[in-house]
Amino acid sequence: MDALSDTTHRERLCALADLTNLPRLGLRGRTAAERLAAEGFRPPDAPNRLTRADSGETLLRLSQGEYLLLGSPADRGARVRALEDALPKAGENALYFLPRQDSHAWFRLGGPRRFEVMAKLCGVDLSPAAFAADAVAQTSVARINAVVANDGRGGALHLLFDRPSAVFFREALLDAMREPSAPRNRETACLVG
Amino acid sequence: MKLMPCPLNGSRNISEFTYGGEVAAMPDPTACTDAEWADYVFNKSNPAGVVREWWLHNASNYWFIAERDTVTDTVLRTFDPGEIFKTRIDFTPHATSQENPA
Amino acid sequence: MNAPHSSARLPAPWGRLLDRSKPPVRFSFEGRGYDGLQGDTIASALLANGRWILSRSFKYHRARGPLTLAGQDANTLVQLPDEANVLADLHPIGKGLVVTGQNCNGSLDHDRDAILGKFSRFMPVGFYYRAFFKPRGIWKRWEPFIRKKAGLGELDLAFQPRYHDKAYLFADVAVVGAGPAGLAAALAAADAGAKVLLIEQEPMLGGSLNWARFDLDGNEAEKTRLLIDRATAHPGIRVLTGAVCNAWFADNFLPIVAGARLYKARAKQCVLAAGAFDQPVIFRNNDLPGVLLASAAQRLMRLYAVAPGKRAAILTGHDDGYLAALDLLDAGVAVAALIDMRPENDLHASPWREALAKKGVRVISGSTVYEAIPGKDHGRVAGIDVRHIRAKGQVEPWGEIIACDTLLMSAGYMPAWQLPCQAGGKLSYDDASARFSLSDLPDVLTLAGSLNGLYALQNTLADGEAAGHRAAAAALSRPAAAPARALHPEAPVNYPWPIFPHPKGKEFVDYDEDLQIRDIVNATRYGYRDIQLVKRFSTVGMGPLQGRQAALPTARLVADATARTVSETGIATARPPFMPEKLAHAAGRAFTPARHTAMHRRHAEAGAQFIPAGIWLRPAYYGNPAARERLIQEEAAAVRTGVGLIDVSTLGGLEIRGPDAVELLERAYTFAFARQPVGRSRYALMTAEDGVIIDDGVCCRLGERHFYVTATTGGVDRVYRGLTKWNAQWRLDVDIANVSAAWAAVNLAGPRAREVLARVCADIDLSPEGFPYLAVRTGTVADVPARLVRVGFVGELGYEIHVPARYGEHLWDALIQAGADAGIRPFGVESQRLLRLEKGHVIIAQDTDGMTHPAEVGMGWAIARKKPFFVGKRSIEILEAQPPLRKLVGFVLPKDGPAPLEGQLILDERGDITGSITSCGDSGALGKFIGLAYCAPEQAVPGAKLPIRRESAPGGRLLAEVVALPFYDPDNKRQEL
Repeated sequence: MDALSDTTHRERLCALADLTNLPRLGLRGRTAAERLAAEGFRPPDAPNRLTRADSGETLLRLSQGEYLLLGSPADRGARVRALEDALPKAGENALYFLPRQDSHAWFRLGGPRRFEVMAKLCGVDLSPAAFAADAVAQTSVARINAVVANDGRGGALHLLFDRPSAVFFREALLDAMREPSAPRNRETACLVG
Repeated sequence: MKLMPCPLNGSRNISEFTYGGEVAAMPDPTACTDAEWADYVFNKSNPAGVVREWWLHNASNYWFIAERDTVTDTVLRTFDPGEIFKTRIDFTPHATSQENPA
Repeated sequence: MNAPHSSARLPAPWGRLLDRSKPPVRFSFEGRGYDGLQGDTIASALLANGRWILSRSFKYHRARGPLTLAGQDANTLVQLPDEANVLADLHPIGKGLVVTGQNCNGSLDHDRDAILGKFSRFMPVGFYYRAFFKPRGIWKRWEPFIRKKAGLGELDLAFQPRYHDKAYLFADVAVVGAGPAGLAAALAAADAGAKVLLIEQEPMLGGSLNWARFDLDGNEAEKTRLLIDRATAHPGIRVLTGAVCNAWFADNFLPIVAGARLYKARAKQCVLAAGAFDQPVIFRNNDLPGVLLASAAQRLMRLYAVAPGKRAAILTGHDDGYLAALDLLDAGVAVAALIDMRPENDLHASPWREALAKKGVRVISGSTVYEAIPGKDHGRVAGIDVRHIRAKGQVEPWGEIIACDTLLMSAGYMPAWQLPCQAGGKLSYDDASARFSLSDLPDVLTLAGSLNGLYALQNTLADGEAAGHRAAAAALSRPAAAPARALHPEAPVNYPWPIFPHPKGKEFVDYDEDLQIRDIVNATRYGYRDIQLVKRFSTVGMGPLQGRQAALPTARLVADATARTVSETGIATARPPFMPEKLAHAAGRAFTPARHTAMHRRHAEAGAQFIPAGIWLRPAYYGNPAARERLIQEEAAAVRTGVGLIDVSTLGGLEIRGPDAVELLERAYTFAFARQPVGRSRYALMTAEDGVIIDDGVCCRLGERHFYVTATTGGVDRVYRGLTKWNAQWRLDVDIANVSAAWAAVNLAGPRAREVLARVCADIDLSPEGFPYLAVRTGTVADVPARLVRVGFVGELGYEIHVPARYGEHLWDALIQAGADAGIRPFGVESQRLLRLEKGHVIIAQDTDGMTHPAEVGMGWAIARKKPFFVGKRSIEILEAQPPLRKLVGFVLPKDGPAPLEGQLILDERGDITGSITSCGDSGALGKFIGLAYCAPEQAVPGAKLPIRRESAPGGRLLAEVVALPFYDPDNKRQEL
């Protein structure tokens, strides 16, 4: 896995990167937002929104009290890894750590055709007009539950889903990317990592 | 395919949800009769009209309550269960029980 | 007729779909080569070559030519090498395409089964049902013969489907149908800012603008065609041509078939502008080749530049017939006569009537064609018997024979009612005016154009525009600002009774099913008054046409025969799909999720044979399937005598944390947890409100307010959902997290397990005193953080080791390496099931069913009866107060007899069924067959004989012996080592 090398495929119509080994974590509970703010992140104002930290981390809000923090490729997730190590795991003070690096796999789908590819897998309208640049959708993708996050600034969709389903999910995505109606004269699918 | 308006996630295909049964008040299990308890467990009111139902949004594991008209099969309103279940429910004044010595 | 015509095509602009700049396309039909043009369908190319017989009818094998030329009838069904029942009027020709006829004995032109038509008197409606019903079994003898005679097309069994795909589409406004109304609606909606999806079945936009005539000189259509260019260029409109919206499902969910793709479109608003179906007149021989709908002839000329014949007559019930006559004249076809069913005094002066008169065309009013007369040219129409209409459906006894080689007919229009009715709409018919109307539609749906009974061009345009405005406003949540719809008065389009019975019959109501007037009327005489029953009995409307042409005459005939109105009888339901849909469309891009554990790759490398467990894949055993039984026994023996390793990552895992963690567990599980010490595990049994066992697991207390509870592989989602639903009501201060996927886990089991673990675990005291049976520890194993539990599922010294999923493969490798010299062996689900069976442990959902309460499986010990509440407590109390109905017991059978099988029945001495076997196996440790079975409580006594039904055994039963559980190591010494 190399979280960074997929940038070399930017020009491609659609690029899938496997970021599963990049640190990430979940936090839930009454004090979760407070703790994240204290760590220098900006908890989104409403559920199903995300914010980006200047250092590259992405913070998703999944419900009233649940957050998902994605590590930055820039520091290979070091900042999030350090937070994971520092956080209590037993649920003190209404702060509940969730092991999202282990429970969820993480793909990043980039390229201008990413919305078309997703329309083959997902019944939610993820086109730019309908899915804002900081929007998050918790939905069914290729018949498994997934969190889809629109990292508008990064020009990519983050997909977080059941880790044991990663082999299945990768095949489903690649098949959708290889679909016959896509232009054949350019490579439309590549997997990095 | 029907749409279901989820209070947390917005309008979604009904296939994203799991039905959780009618919202029904549990009779006091220590005070009710066997017949009352059996009625609660096994019988559904299924009225021709507005019924309150539990629905789960699978991907976010979010339970909510829908008011649905069973005659027209229209969902009139969905809302967080906190609207109805505002305070902690206890079964005895002392929340935790005596342990069974067995 | 089959002499090659000069392939005379009409000059441009006739032939809108043709590309004459391209070379001709050569294909074959019935073994003969034909040339068509780029843009032709199979049917249009054949017609251009003067070839009219395209098929033989279903029952009587009558020669049939095109009827609608719009893919709306079965007359054009042909066979391709790899596909049967292809609509020749939709399928494009291609170079070298090999097309043959269907449903004929011999050739299409000389079908030996055409003689069947002579016997139609003996094959009345319902013939098959009634003739072959008795004696019993007779159908089996007749079936092959009838199937051969009645089947349509041949399957290519070597067929390999192409890639078929599915995709979602999203729109503010979906417009179905791109005729004038649909175009106007799409443009109005898109101009208002809506994202529009415009769905058109034909290969080009325009609908009737492409082939119909609306005025004297034909300029109106041409002017209006500007809308096509506007719609095509509009950035707010996505156009799908050659795309069929095949149904309307709730909340505007629209399945759209386009080539090899099935779109699933979701629109906030939907405008249906699907138009109307031209209706045939029902008279004798109305199916002869050369008799076709007026719209079909217009399509043939305008789209494909083919004149339908040399001398044509027109039978009509409305003004559009006159416009079709003008088209024929323009195309150089002689018009023998125009027969108007309406009486003379109902006819008003119209410019086209005057124009026809000026051109010397004879108009015969108040009359109909009573019979079409076949000629020598393979039965093509050669003349018509025209009679004056005396009364409803009755004609004068004499008439006039008019020679013609083509007859155009149109009795009126029926709105395309299928999709609106699928949306819950109600179709009404006014018997006096013969007008249709649709009502009771959902808010998200708007009708436009002919579906609203509008046929005049300016009216359909105005109606479409208004519909587009309304839909866009609703979709964009804006106040509706639709312009007032100014409609011009329109003459009725439907002649009320275009049905003329003939004593010799063959007046076809349903061309697909060869149903004549008397077939429908007879159905009512057999007592089928309901239109739906008439349909089922007579099969009317069940063919590929699906009642497009037959529904209205059928309703009229049934209404008439039962002295009711059409509104009272109604129209038979038209369910999806609207057009035939291939299974490949439903099958394309299917998702079959599968879950792999973190150690999956290692299992595959070790030769594991996988079996599904829910959507997980788990190793059943390791090695060659040919040696399955031996391998399972060897794996079990390794655990009993040495050490084995099994991947148990599929187990569910729940993290329960917070001040009310204990309270939640007390309520959700049957056991008591309040006094469970930190560092200890407890069995956790879950019952539903009805007292039935639904799951079990091990509850590990990691802290005062922190528990880690396992759940069954298949049950964890239900458990998690159940817990969160309860707590949405109870409002306890607790966090419930499903961490099943986050933890990879193994069970290291066997007498040498401690020795192996010690090599990779330095920070935990593994001594029996330091880490006793049922204890829980956290520490590191192979340098990664781990949770360890001493469990006894397989009945040996064992450690369940849970590590974060990212380290799963690492843990597996480390343990396999550490156990190498102890002879560690990976074991699979099969040997684990056998080992646990030897210990008498039940597997929820295998040894329990939807009725099992704890006492039935000897789990009364796992109930904390003094707790004030747990889910299921009250029901268990009620159930246990009743006499028990059954018990789960262990039984043994000697190895020299036959092996028992799961599901075999347990009997009592009278031979009545008392239960069944839930688990069984060949126990290597005991040298016996062992099993668990439900039986009557009085049978559940150790030492009692338990009869198992087995027909091949002496007396029809095996006699097992009931034994106390567990079978193996009854004192549980080994797991507590």
